[in-house]
Amino acid sequence: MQAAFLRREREEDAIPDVSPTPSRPRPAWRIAAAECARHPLRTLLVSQGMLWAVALIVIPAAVIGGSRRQAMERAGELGTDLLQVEPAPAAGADGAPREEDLPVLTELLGPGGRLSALRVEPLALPTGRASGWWIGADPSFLEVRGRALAAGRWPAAAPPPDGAHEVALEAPLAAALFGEASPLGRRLLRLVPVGAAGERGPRLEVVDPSAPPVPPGPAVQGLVVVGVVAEPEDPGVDRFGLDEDRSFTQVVHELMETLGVSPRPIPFLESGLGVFVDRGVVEGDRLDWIFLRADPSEIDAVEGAVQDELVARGRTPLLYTNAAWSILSRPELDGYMVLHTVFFWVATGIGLAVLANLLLLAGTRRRREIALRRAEGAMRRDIFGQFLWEGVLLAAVGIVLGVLVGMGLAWIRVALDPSVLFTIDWPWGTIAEGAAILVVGALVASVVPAWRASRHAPVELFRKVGS
Amino acid sequence: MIKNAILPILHHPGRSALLVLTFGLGFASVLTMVATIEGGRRSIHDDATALGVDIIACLNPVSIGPLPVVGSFGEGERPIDAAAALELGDALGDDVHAVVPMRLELVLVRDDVRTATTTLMATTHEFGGVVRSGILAGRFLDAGDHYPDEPGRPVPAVLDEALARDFAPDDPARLVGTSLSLFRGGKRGVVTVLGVVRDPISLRKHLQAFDGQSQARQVSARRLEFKNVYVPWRPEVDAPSGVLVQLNDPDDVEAIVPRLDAFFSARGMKPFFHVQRTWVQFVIDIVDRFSSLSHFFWAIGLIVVVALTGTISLMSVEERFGEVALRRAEGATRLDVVLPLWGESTILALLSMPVGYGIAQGIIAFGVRPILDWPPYLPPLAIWGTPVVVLVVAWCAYLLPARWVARLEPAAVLREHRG
Repeated sequence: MQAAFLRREREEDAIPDVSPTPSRPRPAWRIAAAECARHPLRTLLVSQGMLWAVALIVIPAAVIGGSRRQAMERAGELGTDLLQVEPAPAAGADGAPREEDLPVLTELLGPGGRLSALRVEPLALPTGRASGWWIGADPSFLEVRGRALAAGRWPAAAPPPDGAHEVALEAPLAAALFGEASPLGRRLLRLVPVGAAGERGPRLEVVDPSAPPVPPGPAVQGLVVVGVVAEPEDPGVDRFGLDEDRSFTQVVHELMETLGVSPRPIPFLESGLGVFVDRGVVEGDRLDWIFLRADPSEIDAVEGAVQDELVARGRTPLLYTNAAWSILSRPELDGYMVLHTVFFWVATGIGLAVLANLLLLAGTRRRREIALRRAEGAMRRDIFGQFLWEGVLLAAVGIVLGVLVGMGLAWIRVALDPSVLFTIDWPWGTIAEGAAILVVGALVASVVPAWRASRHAPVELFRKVGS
Repeated sequence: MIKNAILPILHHPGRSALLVLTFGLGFASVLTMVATIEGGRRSIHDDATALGVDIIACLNPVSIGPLPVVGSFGEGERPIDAAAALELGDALGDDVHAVVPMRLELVLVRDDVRTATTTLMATTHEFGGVVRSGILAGRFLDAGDHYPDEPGRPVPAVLDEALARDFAPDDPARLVGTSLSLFRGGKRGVVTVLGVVRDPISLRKHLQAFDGQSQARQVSARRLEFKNVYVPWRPEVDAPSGVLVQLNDPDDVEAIVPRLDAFFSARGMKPFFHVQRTWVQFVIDIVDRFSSLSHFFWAIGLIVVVALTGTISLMSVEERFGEVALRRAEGATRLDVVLPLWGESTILALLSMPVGYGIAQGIIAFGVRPILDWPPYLPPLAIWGTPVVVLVVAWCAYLLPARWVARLEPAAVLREHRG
């Protein structure tokens, strides 16, 4: 292929590049551009070094810059401001966070932070239905989890005047229990078996409106529906911010499990079969799940502080944050970008050496063309300018193609990543910086060949060509 | 022939120097990439193997409340207790090297300035034999070290080097003999540091930088981070999280695991067995998969380098088509024409190799190593293969067009070349 392009180049070189009107010589940059355009394959091959140099510097800047911006702008949606805490399974019941920890955690979060905690128990649903959940939460749950009420209101914390606790049902559960009828105001019973039957766990029953009221007691808890929590919009991401539909997510999960990070399912948050009640109604002070929201730029520090505080209090927590953000937000990452800069300089060096070589060789090979131009009246500075411009234009081609290739590769990288946090932005600052370095480098690399090409007198050149 | 090969190089020093530089830079970039990738892969292999391929960890699955957990007990099943942990050593006898009970907890270690959340491993002095990285300073726990019965008395402790560096970044050994605060189970105590265990993980800097989920890791897995504080085990107080069994030979796994299973089953216990050799192999497989991907990038780099050097060589030789035709017209044979070019390309390619090696060494020493910290490694194939590729490219790029033009009618070539 290269031999073919050289043959073609020779044929094209045979056509004299004569200006139509000697009195109005074409500017050097136009002649240089025409030369580059006449040999597209050569231009491409020579620009390669610079192309890869620019691509190397553009890819990380595009991905890191874009993702960091997105992490801040879409924090709530992508969970970059969210910290989730659960007790480590192997720690035993003593290791679970407790109610008394919440004021301390709230203080750690500061005025801008938000917190919600859950206490959960399994709840058998009326016969034939899947198992549901008895979830003790607080009013901030909806805001912190990004959920909304489809109808009614959040259950009050106040003790019930008629003995019936207020509850809010998740929409799928409300539909399963009451069909299309409004569940608001309907009554339920939570039956707590005692004695040997206690092992079966509490059970939920729907009260027939026409039936006589059941008096509350230790084994019977009366409930009244005051709200319906809308079905959660499927965020499509797990608690690490990984898109569950992407092919590499499974690989990352396997890797995490190998390293002891076990992203276990959270059925009470995902099944849509929860009965929400004020947390004070659910017995005990153990907390099964805590959600904290803070400024994304501070989430790393908050995570460390929360862990230290809970461990100092004798708890054994597991803390989850957005996996991609926890890496992207680290300052150490900027240190690793130096490597890209090292390879940028290597590729730049190769690119400029090739460019200088090409111009040096072209200066010798194109003596006839130079001689003709000198004979037509072109000044030495015109020849010098033409070669200089050729170098700069070849660098420009490398820069433009490098930016396009770099952005293309960055886009592929982002599309393949299991985290939805990753995106790309045009890193104009980095592009300008890389382009300036390469253009200056190209000017330097072109000066000597351009000087050599321009120094010969026309007669001398014709003599050399003739010999 | 040699003279004819050397003369063009001497007559065109600038062109020759740029050709050598182009070859050398291309050569250096491929060497740097291969050395960096292979060095990283070997370091991960070494680190994974250093965690111990001769260890089986028998760990208790513990459920909490009514929520689903990893592993659970069936009816009548219970966790490993202290008595079983002590009996296991006698049951296995000389078939294993050591049986070490351990309890793992998350604790807070603090000095006057800094705080570190870390894993506490309450264990026996035999654990010192399991750690293969050795002691950096001081000593490991010995049979005479006991957890004090009276609260408030200092607890003898040994720190892993990585933990010690949290408190003494430049000289972790200086912590020996000092005291630190320890928050264990919500109670404050004091530990006296007896020794510091040498860090077996050489890639810690990178693991920490890219491990955003260490705080989501199960406590039993955190012990393998080697940021532990080791204290004496109290059989009567510390319910074991598990037992480490060190084998005499890593290949004994298949024979020992069924015996462990039988031992614990007979006592109604149901631990899960974490065979570190299998786990290490799994980690290495994953690393190998990713390093294969990395090799794809240097292969692309090689193709780019080949294209660039090929282009430049071609242009260099194309300039001399007229000269070749003239020599042919003077009666030179094809071999007379081609051999000097072959010699020139060989000399330039050979000159580029020390230049390339030098540049590669420079890039690694000043650009790569200070950032990545791991020793680069060049596999023999890269050491011999890359120069051969550069040489072959130079030969092809010089000889193919020269051979082609040598076959043509000299008059036609001269006519075309001069227009």
